[in-house]
Amino acid sequence: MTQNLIEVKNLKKYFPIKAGIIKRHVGDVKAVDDVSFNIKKGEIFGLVGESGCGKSTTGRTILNLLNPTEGSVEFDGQLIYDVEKNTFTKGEKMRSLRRDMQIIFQDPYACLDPRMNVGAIVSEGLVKHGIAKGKDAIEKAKELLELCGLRGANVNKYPHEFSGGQRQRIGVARALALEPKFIVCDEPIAALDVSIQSQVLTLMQDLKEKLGLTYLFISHDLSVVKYFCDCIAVMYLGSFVEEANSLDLFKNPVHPYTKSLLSAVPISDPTVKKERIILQGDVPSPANPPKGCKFHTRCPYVMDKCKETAPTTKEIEPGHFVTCHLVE
Amino acid sequence: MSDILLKVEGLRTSFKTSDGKVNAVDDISFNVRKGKVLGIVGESGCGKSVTSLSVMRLIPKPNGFIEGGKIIFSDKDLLKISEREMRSLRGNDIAMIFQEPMTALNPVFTIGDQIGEVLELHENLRGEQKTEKCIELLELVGIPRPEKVIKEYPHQLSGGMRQRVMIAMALSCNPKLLIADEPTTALDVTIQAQVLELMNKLTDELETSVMFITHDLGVIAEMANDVIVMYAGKIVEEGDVVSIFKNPQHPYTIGLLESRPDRVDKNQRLTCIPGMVPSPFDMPKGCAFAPRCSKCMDICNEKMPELIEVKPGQKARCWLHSKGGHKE
Amino acid sequence: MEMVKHPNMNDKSVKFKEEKGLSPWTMALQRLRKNLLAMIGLVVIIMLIIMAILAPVITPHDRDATNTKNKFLSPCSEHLLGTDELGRDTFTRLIYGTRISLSVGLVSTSIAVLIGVTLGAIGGFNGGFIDNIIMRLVDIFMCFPFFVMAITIAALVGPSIWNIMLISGFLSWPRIARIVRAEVLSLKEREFIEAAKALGLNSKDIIIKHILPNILAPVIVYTTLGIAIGILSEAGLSFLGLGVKQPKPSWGNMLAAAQSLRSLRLHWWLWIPPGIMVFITILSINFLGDGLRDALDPKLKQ
Repeated sequence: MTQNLIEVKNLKKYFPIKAGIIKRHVGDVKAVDDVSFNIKKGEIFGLVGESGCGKSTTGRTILNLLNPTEGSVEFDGQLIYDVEKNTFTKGEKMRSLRRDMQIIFQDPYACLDPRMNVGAIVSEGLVKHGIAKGKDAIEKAKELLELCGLRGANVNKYPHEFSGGQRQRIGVARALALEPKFIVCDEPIAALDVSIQSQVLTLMQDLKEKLGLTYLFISHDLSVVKYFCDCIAVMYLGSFVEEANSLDLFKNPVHPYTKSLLSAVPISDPTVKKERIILQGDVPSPANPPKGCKFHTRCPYVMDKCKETAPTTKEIEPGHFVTCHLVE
Repeated sequence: MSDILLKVEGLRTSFKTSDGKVNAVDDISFNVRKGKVLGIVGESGCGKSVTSLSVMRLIPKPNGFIEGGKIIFSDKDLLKISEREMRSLRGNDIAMIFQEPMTALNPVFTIGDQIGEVLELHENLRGEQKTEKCIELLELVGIPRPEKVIKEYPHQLSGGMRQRVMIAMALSCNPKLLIADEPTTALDVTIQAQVLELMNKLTDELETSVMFITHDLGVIAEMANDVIVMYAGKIVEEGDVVSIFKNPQHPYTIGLLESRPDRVDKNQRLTCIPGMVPSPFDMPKGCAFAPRCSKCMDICNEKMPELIEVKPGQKARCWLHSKGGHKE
Repeated sequence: MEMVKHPNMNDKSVKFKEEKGLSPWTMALQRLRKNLLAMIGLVVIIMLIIMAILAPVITPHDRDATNTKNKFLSPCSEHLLGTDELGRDTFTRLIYGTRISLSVGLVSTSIAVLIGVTLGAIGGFNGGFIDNIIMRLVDIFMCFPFFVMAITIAALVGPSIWNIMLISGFLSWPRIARIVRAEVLSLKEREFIEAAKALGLNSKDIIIKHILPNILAPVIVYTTLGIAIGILSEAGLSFLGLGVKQPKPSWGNMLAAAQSLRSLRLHWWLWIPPGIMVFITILSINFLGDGLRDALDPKLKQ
């Protein structure tokens, strides 16, 4: 068995809703609601779900970029935080831990500071952590750019001089500068053109192999996740509904939401006409999730039980977890 | 031929910029058949949206202008008729839906007001009749409780609902041609599936022709009867949907299809199209795709190939299939 | 400079040198250069500054030298713009007045920018309680009409050039604090700030390296236009006798000559020239300010 790099237990992240002049607490947006999972070293863990299901929040809370409401995260044997025990890693210690865990963003336009040149952007972390300075840092930035398929000669250019795909490569180079072990990829290819998407995906695969990285890959695109990830968790309204390794999940999806999600993906073959499970309605608001099973308002197999009690998570096969009353 | 609703010939649309003139759409010709769906696919900047705006004669003035060509819609050349005639065609015979339904709807009017306005303008409906027709249309596009929705404002509806409202507005006057510019790109997969199914159903029932513009090959495979693939302002391949997906001829089409992760197995690497779309200010001398093409020959860097018929009903713009290239 | 080791496959010509980048500042400068009105404004302002610095060289007369024999002389070759009621050379006082007026504009705006940027950035970045306090303070300051406040304070503390600078500075910071706070709030949500956090930068690093350079553009625009407001308020207060005190000349207190009906009718050279100077200066600064706003508009996503 390979070791777990990330262990997440009962993670919750609520955003308070405040109203009135005195900012009274009137409720919570339950963006992440009791999520537990482990990511093994060298694995690509996929997190899929529709917009607003809390997948990005999960990624950011794990990295301690957002303060957790509850739960604990362990990274490589080190406890990052445990809300119950009131232990948090803070200040200098957290900053040195950040070297090992990085993040790549979705929007290649918003993720780079427009007033810094590429060399400064990529080497920022190196300078901050005292790994390299001045000319050395720029040399290192050049190497990183080359590694990510850009010319090192570009170090003096500014973000606006690059296309979307190239900017995403700069973002990857910045994340790699501190030689992290773990990278959260928050929809890194969603904003790119089709032909550029495959370039960035391939780059990420190459880097993973070369540098032995572990990814948490957040995406709404099931066909990308299927191809790219080893293990996949499907999220709906802040909770996991199904988690399995990629082959199992696609061969044998159990949760009705997973099934409908899979059937909704258009496939690029006009001769295949497949049966669609079209879900009715929209995702309910995470500020006011339905009682019982959160999916029951849209579920085609809804039973009375689903409206009353929330199902528990069961392991139907080794490593295949489902949270649904149907599998009892 | 009588089964052709819209015939575009040699359309050329340009934009004036501070750095000179740019040919956004460069000599393209295509037909939209009656009751059929024409899919236009390409990456950002290939000119697919400009094509649709040209047909609507909605190219932003004064920088954009149609330089030449014919757009023949039911025996009328849309480029020759007056602005007044064009206005009565828009919304009546030709309707359009956009990518971002939030920006296309006016936030300060209710849904009923906005659909009603179209009905008043083109169908001359008033009062009770108008409200009834509004409700009928909203029912048609599968909006629950339409009597309530007509009194609501756009921000009260979800993305999928807004897109349905847009479709309802577009269909309110039974248009002969519906232009859909990336109608599902901003939506989640399950909502995309709902909207696509709705569009399929409605176009079948109402026998509307559709020009469907998207970058997503999967959506094209599901929706279109005929497909044109655009690259850098030109059509590089056209044909019926099955031949394009089963037997693509142009290296760009092949590359696009192969870079889709749903077409490869897990352990295989994705095939990438290297490089990126050339800048419109710095077009290659010969074939625009030559710098990225794996099968590039000497002649490709010299001369732009013609769009010629490779097989009955399938055309490609490539020297591999033209005289002058090494293959006949 | 070192040779790049692995030139990219797509690139046909191997580059041996680091390529030069086009920074947003250079781009803004290029755009500004194309703007004729802004360039005219800039040239006029530079000329005014040179004039202010070289005042003793330009004019042979002493600024405060009175000569009761020569009072109310109309313009002649000796006194280019005539003399005033004490026989002082109007042209000389006009040139020296440039010094006073420009420095009042500059210093008061600097005070406003310093306070405004600091408080706006702190409020916007930290949010919560501190932000609330700062913004309420801004609201209170903005409740009072600027000129009424300025006159009241000036009347209380007495007229002097320093008081004018301080009053004008302290009364105009809320506006800039608001602008800065709004910018910081939107910047804070940008992903590159989050990326910086993920790299381990602390709040101080983030404010200095990422926030400040990105709010500089609107601050520059505001500063330029703020100088114009500063000069105007000095002129206004001095005109009312609450600003720069005689014998120090400023455009404002020279204009006060127009308060006397006799001078207004008979001695045009006492009040028209300072009026024209105020007009030209404000117009030039506004031209430059508008040009800067267009040039610095961060439409870098092209």
